[in-house]
Amino acid sequence: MKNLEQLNAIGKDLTKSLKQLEQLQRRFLADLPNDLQEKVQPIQKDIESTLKAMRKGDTNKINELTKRYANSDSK
Amino acid sequence: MRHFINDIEISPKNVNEIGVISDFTIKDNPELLSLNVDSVTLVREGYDVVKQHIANIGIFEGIPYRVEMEPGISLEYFVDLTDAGCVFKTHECEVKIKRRLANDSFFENANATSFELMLKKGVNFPTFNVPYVVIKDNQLEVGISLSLSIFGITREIIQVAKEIQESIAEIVQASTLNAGVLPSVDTGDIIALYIKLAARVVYFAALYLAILDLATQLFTLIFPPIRNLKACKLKDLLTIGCNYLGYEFESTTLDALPNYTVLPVPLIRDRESIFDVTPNALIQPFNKGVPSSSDTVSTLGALMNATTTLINGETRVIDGLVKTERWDYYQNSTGNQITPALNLQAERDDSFSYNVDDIWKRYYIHYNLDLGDFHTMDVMYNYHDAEYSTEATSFVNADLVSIKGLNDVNPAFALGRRKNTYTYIEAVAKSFFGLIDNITGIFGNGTNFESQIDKRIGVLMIGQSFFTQTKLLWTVGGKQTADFTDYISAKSLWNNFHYINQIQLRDAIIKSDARVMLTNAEFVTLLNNNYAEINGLICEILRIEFIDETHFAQITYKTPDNYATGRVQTLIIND
Repeated sequence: MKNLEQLNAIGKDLTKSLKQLEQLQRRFLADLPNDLQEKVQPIQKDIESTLKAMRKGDTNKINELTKRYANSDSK
Repeated sequence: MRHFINDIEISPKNVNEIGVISDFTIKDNPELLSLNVDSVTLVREGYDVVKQHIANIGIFEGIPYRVEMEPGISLEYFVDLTDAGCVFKTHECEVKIKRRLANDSFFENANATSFELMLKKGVNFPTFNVPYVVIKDNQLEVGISLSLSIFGITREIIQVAKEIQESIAEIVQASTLNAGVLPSVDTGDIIALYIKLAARVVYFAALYLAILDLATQLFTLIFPPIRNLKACKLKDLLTIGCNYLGYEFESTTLDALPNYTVLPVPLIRDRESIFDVTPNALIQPFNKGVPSSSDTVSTLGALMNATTTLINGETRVIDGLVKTERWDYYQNSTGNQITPALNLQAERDDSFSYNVDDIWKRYYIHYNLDLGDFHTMDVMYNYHDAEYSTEATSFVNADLVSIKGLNDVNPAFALGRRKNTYTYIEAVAKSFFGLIDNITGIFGNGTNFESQIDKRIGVLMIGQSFFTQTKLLWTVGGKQTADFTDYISAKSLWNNFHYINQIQLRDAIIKSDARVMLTNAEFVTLLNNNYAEINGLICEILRIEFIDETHFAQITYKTPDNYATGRVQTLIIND
């Protein structure tokens, strides 16, 4: 149960972080050089569509994005 | 007495020997107005009617027979040609006559009338849904699976959520202008970090949806959907069953207990296997709602007997009216008065005996336990039986105390368990699913598991899809009330119905074969209520033999006494 409560708290934090990211984009994305904007914007759109698909429970869309970003996470 | 067969007056050969006897000692089925002779011998026109009836209609339908005691007072009988005692000779026949629309004929029919037969003949019963959930006894296994699932799910999602937060922090960091002559950002780093973040968000989303799916499946497993079985109120079954046989049914005792409900076993033919149907297909009831051949009360007669056992009652059938009441019902409503003579006329003396047949040492009330529903052996075990013992209040020689006999009361039902609270596993799972609801509320595609759990309180709990003992429930709106054990437990049966059987409350002396002068009308009144005031005391008439030629009857009656008062007490062994 402790884990679940932690998960609940993290969920709330994560929401805040995602909002923070949104604000960050507004602040910096517009100031980025055009070439950089062109490269970041598609990725940003993918993040947005991922979150949208998650809300809708669109498994097909998530599968499609999973394939696109497979092995991209160099932890 | 004048005798009529098919409304034709006849004179049986043994007419002067014929009297009537009523024996009230068989509590659940008193024998009323049977003839004091084994058979009636019919000659001439009487025999002609019998022969004609057999030729035209056959032996399977009885012949109406009426005994007119005086104008306006008739007793209805019928000639039962299917009785083995009927003998036919050349010029006469000996036939058995039985009371029409009375105990014998009613119970003979009721014992052979199943509820399935009535359904087949188009009889409608007011059945209704009883919601239930299957709570199995594998809670430990479920608990282990649940714990592992919760642990795995939360661990992984926490990890990924943390990683996403880290990624966001890294992007924020990388997007911050570097200090220098010309402030700048690391373009390559930002792109790499965005890709990393996107990958983690996608992984998180995939995991989130997988968790949601798993949670939904887990919910169905731990909280299977509420299903329904059909049931019917006890009084409705009895009333409609009696009506089907051409009788009316009355019971003030059952009128005061309108929520007694019979839940038949869910065993029917031609039903799809539970392995072939989806769980949702079981939400709708698949049983018939009335007892079947697999039930412990498969016929109207069996249900009638179970009811009289339940309420410590007796059933009397008089002129087409079936009346089931607690046995002392008539005692409180008599207006009869008689004055018997000494019962030993030749010796001008009176003799009596104690009602020792009513004494018991052990009184055991117990419902059936159902191996198909372990809940009857779990919490309901505490309510399924009650045991009492008659003990001497004091004695001189313990070995000479003689209180004996077992009174075994077994209504042919099992009890049903009400879901009052959450099981341990459900309580844990409820918190888990509440948090799942919160989390899905944050990320979208929200669930409402917790509200579905709350709807389960109050429904019937059974251990598996099938059970084998017909259940007796106390329902309002299909669900058992929170205080249902106050009406249905073995202890409540004692407190409401059976306590009157304690010998210190019914100690009496029996006087046998006392002569009493009765008019025909008084005799008929005594048949309807066999209690009468004798010497200022309300006495129970146990047996009357009446021969109207003399207007004398011989009665055996029980008059209250106090030989047991203060001498014995009832010890509660358990209740």
